[in-house]
Amino acid sequence: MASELPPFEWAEPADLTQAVALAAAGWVPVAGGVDLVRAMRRTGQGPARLMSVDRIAGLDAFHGHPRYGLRIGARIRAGRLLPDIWTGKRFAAVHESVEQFDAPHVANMGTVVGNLCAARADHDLPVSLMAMKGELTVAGPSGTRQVPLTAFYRAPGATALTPAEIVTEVFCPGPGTDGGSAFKKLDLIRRRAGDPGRLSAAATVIYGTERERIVEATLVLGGVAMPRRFAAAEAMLVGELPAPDLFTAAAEAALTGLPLSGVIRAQARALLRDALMQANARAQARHDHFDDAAEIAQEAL
Amino acid sequence: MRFIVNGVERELEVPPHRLLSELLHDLGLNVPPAPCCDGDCGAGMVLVDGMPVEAGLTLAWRARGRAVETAEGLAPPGSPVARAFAAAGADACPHCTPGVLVAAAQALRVNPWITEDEARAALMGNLCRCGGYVPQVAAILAAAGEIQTGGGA
Repeated sequence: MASELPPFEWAEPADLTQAVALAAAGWVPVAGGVDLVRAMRRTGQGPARLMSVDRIAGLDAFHGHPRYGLRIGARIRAGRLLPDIWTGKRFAAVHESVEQFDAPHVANMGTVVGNLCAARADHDLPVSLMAMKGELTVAGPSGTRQVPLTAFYRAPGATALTPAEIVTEVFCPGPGTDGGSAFKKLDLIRRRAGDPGRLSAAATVIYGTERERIVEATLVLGGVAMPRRFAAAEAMLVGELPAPDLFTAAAEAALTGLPLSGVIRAQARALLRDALMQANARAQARHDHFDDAAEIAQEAL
Repeated sequence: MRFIVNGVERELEVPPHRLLSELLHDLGLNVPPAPCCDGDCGAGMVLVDGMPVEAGLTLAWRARGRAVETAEGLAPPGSPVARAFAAAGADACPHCTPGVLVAAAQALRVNPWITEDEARAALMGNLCRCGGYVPQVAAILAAAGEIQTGGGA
């Protein structure tokens, strides 16, 4: 039987030095391959030279902890995050976006970092990880550098990576003692040509030690071009007492200047407000003695 | 490339652009090559090292040195799962059934004391265009009962 995929050359580098050298020579890195194989099956075209990251040592780190943050290596499949207790409890936005990621048997194949690097406007993981202040570690010919997700995306399909660079992991700092996060999405909402097919929103709300006023918030919308944070809307929340009207106003402020109309605009506003409200509820309900005990036990080790 | 299919070790020459579904199909196994093109339908579901994946989106080389299981290996005729599916009329059409059998057998292997809700959740990656989910869930529960009373997997 003839293959559906166009032929290509295949390489399996065993370490990062080899991988970076191959990338510089024009080999395209592939992790889970879900997006790539889908595109190749649809179009019958693809890169001539592919390099698997599956055998590169050191890219399989996965560690989630409320104080030390969430670290996801380039080989980690999205499904790996689902049973992790700390991802579920303290990185709720990331957990919710992985829950709604894809069918379970596809989540077992696709990697988190691959989803970020595909740089597609309708992907969810960039939205939740950007709200959790995600940062990429990028390996290149002259060593590694850190790229925050906010500075990673240029346009759909275009990132801040140079051709010789490979993303090795994504890291989100710990959410703070009294912080909460949430992710929401609406699918299949296109009504007219030019409408986005999917909207997703993620937010975090962090309280200070007196647990009264918001000291920090992030707000991200995806689906309209590439995901982005809204600094002005986030600034409206800092130092304030939480209130539904405040979150609605912040959501409205975030949408200023976005090319959305009518129902889609109302849906985006509701999505942003709901993400903020749920992140806030989680931050307020956070005080969990079990978490504290587990953190202390972890530190004692 | 050396790998294990349904417990039998095989050695084959495989070009890198061959899909796992095409490879298994060539071996005479009923693995539809992801008719949806996206892997959303779950028809081409197989287990690689015990983990459900979509064979129609997997490059065959990914299975190198691993154990691949398909519906033929997980639910052969006469096994509790296959008999329960036949008795419930849940294997009437060949399109989604291989994937559903893989999902069902995997769920029962992980948890033989499966509840109805868990059985429904186990099938959430499988689309059946006949809408035959009710007999499929009933068949999973019937097979679970047989396995619990000592019928073996």
